[in-house]
Amino acid sequence: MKATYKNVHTHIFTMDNAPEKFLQLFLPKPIANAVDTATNSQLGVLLLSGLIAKMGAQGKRYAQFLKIGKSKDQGTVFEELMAQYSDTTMEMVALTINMNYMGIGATRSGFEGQLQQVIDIKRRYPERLLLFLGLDPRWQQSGTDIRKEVERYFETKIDSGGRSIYPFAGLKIYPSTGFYAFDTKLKETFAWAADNGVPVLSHTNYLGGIFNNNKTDIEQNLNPVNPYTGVQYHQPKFINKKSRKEWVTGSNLTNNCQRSCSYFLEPSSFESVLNHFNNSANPLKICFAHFGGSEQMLAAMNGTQNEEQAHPYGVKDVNWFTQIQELMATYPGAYTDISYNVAEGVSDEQQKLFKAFHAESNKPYGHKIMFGTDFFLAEKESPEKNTYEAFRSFASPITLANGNNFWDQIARTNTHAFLESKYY
Amino acid sequence: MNLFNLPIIEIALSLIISWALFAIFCSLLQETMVQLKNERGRFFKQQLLRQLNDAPNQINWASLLYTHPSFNILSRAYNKPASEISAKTFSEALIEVVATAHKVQSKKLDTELIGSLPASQYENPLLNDFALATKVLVPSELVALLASSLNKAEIRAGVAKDRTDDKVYNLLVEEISDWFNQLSSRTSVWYRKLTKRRLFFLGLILSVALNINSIALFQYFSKNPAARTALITYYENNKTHLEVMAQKYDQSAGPNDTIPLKEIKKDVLLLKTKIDSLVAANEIPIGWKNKVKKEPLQHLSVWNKIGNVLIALIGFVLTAFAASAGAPFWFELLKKAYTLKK
Repeated sequence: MKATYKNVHTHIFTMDNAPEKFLQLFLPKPIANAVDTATNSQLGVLLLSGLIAKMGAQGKRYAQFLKIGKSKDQGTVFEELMAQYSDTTMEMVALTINMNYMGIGATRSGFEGQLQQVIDIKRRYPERLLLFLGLDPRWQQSGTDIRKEVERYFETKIDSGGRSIYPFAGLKIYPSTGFYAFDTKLKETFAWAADNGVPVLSHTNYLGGIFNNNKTDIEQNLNPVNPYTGVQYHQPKFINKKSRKEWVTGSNLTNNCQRSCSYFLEPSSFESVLNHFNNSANPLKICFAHFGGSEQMLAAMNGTQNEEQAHPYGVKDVNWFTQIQELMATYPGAYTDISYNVAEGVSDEQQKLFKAFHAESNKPYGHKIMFGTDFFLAEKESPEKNTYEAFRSFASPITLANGNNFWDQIARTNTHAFLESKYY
Repeated sequence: MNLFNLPIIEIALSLIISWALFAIFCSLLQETMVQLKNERGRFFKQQLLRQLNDAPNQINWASLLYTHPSFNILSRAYNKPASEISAKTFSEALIEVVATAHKVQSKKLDTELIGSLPASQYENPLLNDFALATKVLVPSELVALLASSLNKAEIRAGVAKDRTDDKVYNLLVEEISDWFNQLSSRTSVWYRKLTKRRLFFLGLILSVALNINSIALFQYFSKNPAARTALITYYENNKTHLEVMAQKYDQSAGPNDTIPLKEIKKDVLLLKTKIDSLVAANEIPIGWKNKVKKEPLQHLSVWNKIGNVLIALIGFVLTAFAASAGAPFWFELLKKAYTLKK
């Protein structure tokens, strides 16, 4: 086993790799367009960042997020990420995402352009960077074509410092962009992944992150036949929640799209996939990133008055944190990570989230919980350096019930087990 | 009779000289903003991103070019891309980026596809992989362009037995360079149009902010022969210097980020000082403090007030159009007028 610690969840993509209307997912359209135009130059980024930074600590972090995403290339973003770590051997998993099918236009660099950029960075930093290839069933015409492309991308070695190395170490899926993990076009690729030990990491943050912003697209994809069970997934329906506040800000449709995309993301929708591979020779390793999201974690632990958190959108009406706990307890291939939540936990003096991670790591599935931060998206919660140092300081003195050091377990042992494959 | 001594000709000359000076001033400010925003480089990059977006292959080749070492080294920073790239640099980088793309390299594992293609005819791996790329990438306009360039290079290189890798490569670079030069010319034209529009809006903002009203100026010059003479004399004494400045800041001349900002600042101050002294000495109605005194508004009817506002607006718009025509245009006109005078 490699002795290095790993951050299993980071992003180094820039707005160059995102669709042109990306900001419309987070801001009302006129403001998104104004911000996009204003930040087309370094001067605009600085001015806007400066303005936002005056809005307190939260503003400062949004400003940092804007500066990273808008004004740099992926190589520079990765170098900035590495610079946050005093441990110069720490490996970073960088997750690529195919954002061409989110209903907000094509990406500037192209998805395979994004892949080429990260491969070039891997050549320069073979020992620090681990790449996950973004997988989307809409990428190619058929499931076989997808599997062939993925296999070729993985198998084609690249030259780095006189050595030939595999460029990719895993697969990333982002179902809330409009597909289910059980999509028939992903089945062959998952079978290949299971056979070769290739891990899959899925975004699973309830009502967080990116999503498909095209209502028609969502509606057309909500009720497919599950190829693992042969049964139609009939329960999901487009959520048409009415909100006057959202109507005034012009964000009602966008927010309803986000709510509806929860069906694609719901942890229990993965069960048929996990079950299928559980019964085969090699269990497929799937990481349910973010442990369902910090709000779901806290809602499960302490209860909540928030209706959307108490009854999360989805088929099961069960807390997502709880769903992931159950999946990890049942399926050997089910993992999770603490990314983004760990950044949110930094500012909590009572360390509720950190303590929750510790408690979970002492449970029977504790060997499947991994360290990740969600850089750079989590910059608006806490700078990466602070997140890493705060959590490492918390975890390092702790010995788990199994006798292992908490930090070693979550950042080395568990991450290595997840990543171990033909390609790593 | 000397036509140039006719009042109407002197009024026209004075107005044109005013427009020319204003146009230089706008060009100076425009150049300052362009350099601060690194606009020429970004505009050029935008056009390349548009032209080299290969949607069927899901790659924007321009995006990859800008992280290629030969492009990177020419740029001040990622968001300050170079405004001038030689055709040879572009062509060589594009050939390398396409040939070495992982998408192309990974196709070598598709034994069925590779088996169906003719055997490679080049010893040089880069040229070989480029030829492969034109066959294995998803057909697109850009791939067709690259394939066509290679075909032409092969034809120009002569029959197969006389063809060397070196010869084909150099001709391929020439073919792609030719395309790039055409694109660069088109980009210059598009940039000139954009600049004209920007000069118009800058001219409009400045004419309102500084009260440079063409109609008011015309009326003033009509009644003030001394002011006309002063302006014409100023032009005749400073013709060469002004024409040089106009050419220097000619926004339509294409990429020119070589004028340091300090020099632009110096020229702005110099010009402003000269214009201020001309305005002060001759009480030219520029600036809101020096505006032409008219009958107090409260004595006018509503229609007269509206009329005055409309005339003022037309005057500002005319000034803005004058700015957008560019200073070289006005100086050229003055040159022709003086040639006729002789």
